[in-house]
Amino acid sequence: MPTSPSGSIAVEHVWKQFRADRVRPRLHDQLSKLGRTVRGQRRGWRWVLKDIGFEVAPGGTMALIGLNGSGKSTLLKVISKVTYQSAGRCETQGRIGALLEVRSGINPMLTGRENIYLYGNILGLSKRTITERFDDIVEFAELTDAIDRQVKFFSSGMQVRLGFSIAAYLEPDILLVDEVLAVGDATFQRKCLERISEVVANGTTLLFVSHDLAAVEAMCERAVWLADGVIRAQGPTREVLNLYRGAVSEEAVVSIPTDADIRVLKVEVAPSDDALIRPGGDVEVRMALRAPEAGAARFFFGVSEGTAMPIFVTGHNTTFPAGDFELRCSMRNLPLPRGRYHLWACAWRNRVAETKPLFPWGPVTSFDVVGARPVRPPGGVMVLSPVYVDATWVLS
Amino acid sequence: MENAFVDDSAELVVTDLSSIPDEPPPELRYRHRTYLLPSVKELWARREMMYTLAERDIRSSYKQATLGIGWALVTPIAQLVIFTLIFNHVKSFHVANVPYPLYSFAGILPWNYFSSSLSSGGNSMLSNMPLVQKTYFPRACFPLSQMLEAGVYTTISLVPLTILFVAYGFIPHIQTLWAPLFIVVELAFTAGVTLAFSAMVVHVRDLVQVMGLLTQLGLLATPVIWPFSKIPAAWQPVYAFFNPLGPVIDGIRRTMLLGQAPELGLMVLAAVGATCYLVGGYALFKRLEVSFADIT
Repeated sequence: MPTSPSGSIAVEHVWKQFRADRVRPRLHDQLSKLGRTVRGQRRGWRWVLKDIGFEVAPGGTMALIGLNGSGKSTLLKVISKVTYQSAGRCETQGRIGALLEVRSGINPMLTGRENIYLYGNILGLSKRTITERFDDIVEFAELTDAIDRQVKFFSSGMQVRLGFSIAAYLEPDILLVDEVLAVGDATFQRKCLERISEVVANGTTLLFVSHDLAAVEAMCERAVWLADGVIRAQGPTREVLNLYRGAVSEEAVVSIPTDADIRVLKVEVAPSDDALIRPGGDVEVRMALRAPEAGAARFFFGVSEGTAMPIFVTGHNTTFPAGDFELRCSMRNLPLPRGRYHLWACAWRNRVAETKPLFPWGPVTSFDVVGARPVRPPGGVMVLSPVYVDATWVLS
Repeated sequence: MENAFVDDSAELVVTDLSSIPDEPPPELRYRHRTYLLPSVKELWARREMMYTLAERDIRSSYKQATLGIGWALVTPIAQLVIFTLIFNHVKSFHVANVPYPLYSFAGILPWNYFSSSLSSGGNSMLSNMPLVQKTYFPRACFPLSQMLEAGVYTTISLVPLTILFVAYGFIPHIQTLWAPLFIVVELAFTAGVTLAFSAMVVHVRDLVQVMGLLTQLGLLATPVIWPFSKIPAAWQPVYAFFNPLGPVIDGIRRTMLLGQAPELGLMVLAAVGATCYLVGGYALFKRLEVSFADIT
């Protein structure tokens, strides 16, 4: 292997196995494990990572996406050498900084100031470097007034901010970020993203794990999609995300329960005049339903990108007959940029104390909007959900 | 995979799932190797972290106590008083011209260092597991920082020892200059045992109880309250190898209190034993630390 500049990650055919049968750290468990090894029995292993291979060039940005339990965090641990792979090679050049759930490093009995020095030391910063960056860290954590107070008097949000800020000023060659956006309030999350893109702009390599696909898209050029411990696809972020969303929604559509009171027979999303659905265009949703008895209900439609929260919902009160009927909903000036979307639907009886829907909220079909590419937000800025706006720009 | 870096503009690659075997080919098996010298260098590079960890523990454990760091004096003094009250009457423990409290304290100090290192250092990996499973740093920093902390407490308890010397008008003999040798042997032995236990405890929690037992029985099995000479001469070399603390305590008493030279033969055996403990303990630690993060 040629000598690589610092900041590169090379993962080749990495496998990792965990025990499937839990060996507890107790004496008789260990002894019986020893006994099995002596008798030559090997059993109860489960591969959590299989044949993982990808590379990130120095200064590159790579996202790891996948459902819970797909092996993302394990892979990060292997890369950061917290744990070791069972097979394969994993090589990194340069200092690694990991931005993980960081409250475990914070000691509640010490003051904020003492904690910054301690945790900074644990992460590998020298006392001098911490002193240099101390003011930045405190300011970033928004803890200027509280820094000499014992951390046990901090709110949990303050503790998280403290931990994150120390890690954010590590300035490593490789930055590993695992789900940090799940913590803190929205303002602080945005600040964290800004800080990460600032670090990346300075040439740090980024490996970013998140369920927040919008953040992934904003931060990373390339993505790796993990499912059940294998890489399903890797490549430019947008294309990987499209594949990922498609696969996730396919699974979701299958999960519609069929024992609901009203059964969905068929759903269609049709453009009103054109053959294609375009940003800002009109569509008609036609849903064929079968009800065992007549009644009154409130029907809902919603549109989402992937399985995330819907971009918008619309609802309508109506009565319906027994037997088969069709419900139509015209949506005008659809605010959706190019992409693949899912139509969600449900129906509730018009009664206050109703706890069970006539049919539950779930994706019923998907459709494509064709047109110009959506505008990529500036680095570090997340778009909550893709919305099409017919904008005109004038310079005078 | 020949090229180290893939062009960033590379196209989407979808994995052919059928191409992935059920098991990795045996030639790819990862074998973790550790080398002694680089590991020690890495530890040395992180010495600042150990200082900070020790400082953090000292600060946080005495922050809420009224006596503060003064508590570090209370334990050895209390032990001294109790041992003196009980064993002052046992004539066979007495040594001519040496007050028993001094004699006893010279044993209590080295023993306390060992036992407090073991009990806090032995549990240190376990109690810091959340951090260990998330962040990388040389794992040995935790038990070693506990040894550092115990060292601070031991140094503090030199104060009552000095007071005792003054109170009895006893001047330590010139042979006290042998002390660095005893300290090195004691440190090596303590580090070996502490490292080994701190790693084993993670895998077998039952050892927490064994450690407690060991520190209690060890106090009786080590010449802390009784003189080393009580051991039959034939067994002394064996004892010196397996429990280097014996010759260390005996050596301190001989040199500082009696003005004699240490028994060099036994000291060499103790030093060899302590080195075995240190190398073996550290090797075991490095061997077991590989799977720390995989343990639930």
